[in-house]
Amino acid sequence: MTVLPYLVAAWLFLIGCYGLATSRDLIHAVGCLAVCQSSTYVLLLAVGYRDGGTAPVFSDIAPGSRPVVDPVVQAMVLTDVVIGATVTALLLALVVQIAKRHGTVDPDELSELRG
Amino acid sequence: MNGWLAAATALLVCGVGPAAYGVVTGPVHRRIAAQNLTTTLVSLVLLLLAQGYARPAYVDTALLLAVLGPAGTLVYVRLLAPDVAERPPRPRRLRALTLTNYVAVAAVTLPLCAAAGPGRSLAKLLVIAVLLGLGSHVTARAMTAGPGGPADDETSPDGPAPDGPVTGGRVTGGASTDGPVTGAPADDGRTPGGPVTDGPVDDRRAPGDPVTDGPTYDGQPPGAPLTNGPAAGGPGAGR
Amino acid sequence: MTDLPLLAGLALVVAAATATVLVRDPGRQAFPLALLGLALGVLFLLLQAPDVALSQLAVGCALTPLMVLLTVRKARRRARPRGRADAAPARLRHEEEDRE
Repeated sequence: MTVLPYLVAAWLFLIGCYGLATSRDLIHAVGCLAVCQSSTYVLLLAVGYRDGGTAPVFSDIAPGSRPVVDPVVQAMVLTDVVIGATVTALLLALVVQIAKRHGTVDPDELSELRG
Repeated sequence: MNGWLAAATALLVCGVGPAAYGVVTGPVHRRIAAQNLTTTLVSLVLLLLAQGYARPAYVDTALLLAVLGPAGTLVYVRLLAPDVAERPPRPRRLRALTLTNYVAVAAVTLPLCAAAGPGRSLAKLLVIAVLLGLGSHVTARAMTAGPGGPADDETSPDGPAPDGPVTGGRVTGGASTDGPVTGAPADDGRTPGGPVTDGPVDDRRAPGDPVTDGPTYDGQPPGAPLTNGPAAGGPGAGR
Repeated sequence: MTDLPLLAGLALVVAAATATVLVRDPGRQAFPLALLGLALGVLFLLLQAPDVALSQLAVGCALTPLMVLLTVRKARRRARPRGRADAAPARLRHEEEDRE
C-alpha cells in the first residue's frame, strides 16, 4: 500500500495526457495540463513522506521532538505550484490571442498553417 | 488514528463526496451552491485534521480557505450571472443548503473550541467559524440577488450586436432577438418563414418592440416634413 | 501509508482529476478544476505539507477558476461562433428576395 500515492500520480498524468490528446477546445486542454502538473506535485510529496512523520514546521513544536517528513521536496513542490499557476495564466492569454487571430479555439481547425 | 482523524475522514467521505458530485453535475446554480458547501466542508476537515495531528500550525490553512473560498464562489456568481439567471435556484433549497452550512460549522467548531483551551487558538477558531458563516451567507445572498441582467455588453445572452440580416433597419429591442435569426423581417416586409403579417408598417415593429419615435418606414422621423414620398413622386415621375 | 484519511484524500483527488478531464465544456470545467484544487490542498495537508497546501489553496480556489472563466468569456467574444456560418446563406437568400 505504500505504492498507492505513486499509482495515483501515474493515473493523474495519464488521464491528463488523455484529455490533452482528445481535447476539442484549447481552454479544456489547458485544464488537462493543470491535471498533468498536479501529478508531479503528488509524486514529489509522496517521495518525501515518512510514515509517522509530521510537517517540518517548528512554530508550534520543538525541533527534534517528533520525526519530520522531508522538507526539500516540499520546497520544490511549493515552487512548482506557483510555476504551474503562471504557466496556466500564460497559456490562457495565448488562447485568447488565438481566438482573436484565427476565430476559433478548436485545435482541429487550427491544424492548417495559415499564411 | 484518533477520534478527530476519524471524524475528518467521515466528513471527507460523507460530506465532501456528495457535495463534489453536486459540483460536477447539474445546472449552474446547483454547482455554485455545491461549490460553496464544498469549501466550507473542506475548511472544517482541515480544522479536524489540525486537531487530529496535534499541530496547531495546520489551522492556518483553514483560515486561508475560510477567506478565499467565498471569494472564489463569488467569482463564479459574478462571471456566470447570465447562466444563473436562465435557471435561477429555488429559494427554499438554497436556504436549506445555507442552513446545512451553518449547522456543519457549528457542529465541528464547538467540540474543537471545547478541546482547545482559552487563548489564541480559541480566538482563531472563532474567527474561522465566523468567516465561514459569513461566506455562506454572502454567497447565498449573491445568488438570489445577483442575476439582475447583463452588467456589461459582453455578458448579454446573445453576445455582441448581431451582424447579419437581422438589423435591416428594424428597431431592435434586446428582448426580441434570439439565437438563430431566421425569422427577421426583411426590408420590404416579407419574412422568410417568420410570422407573416403583411403591410410594411406593421412589419417594422415586432410584437415586443415599443412604438418609439424611431425612423418609420420611409425613413423620416414622424415630425419631419415629408421630403420624399408624395413630393418625390411628383418630380420623380415628371422627369 | 495505510491511514484512512490519506486513502480518502487520494480517492478525492482521483475523482476530481477524472471529472476535470471528462467535463468537456470549458465554462463548466472551471468547477471541477476548483474541486481539484481543494482536493489537492487536503491531500497536501494529509502528506504533512501545510505550506504547500496554503499555496495550492490560494492558487486553486480563487485564481485558476477566475482565469479560466475570464478566458472563456474573452475567447467567446472574439471567436466566430459556429452558428454564424448559417448567417451567410440566409443573407444571400434575403438579398435574392429583395431583387425579385
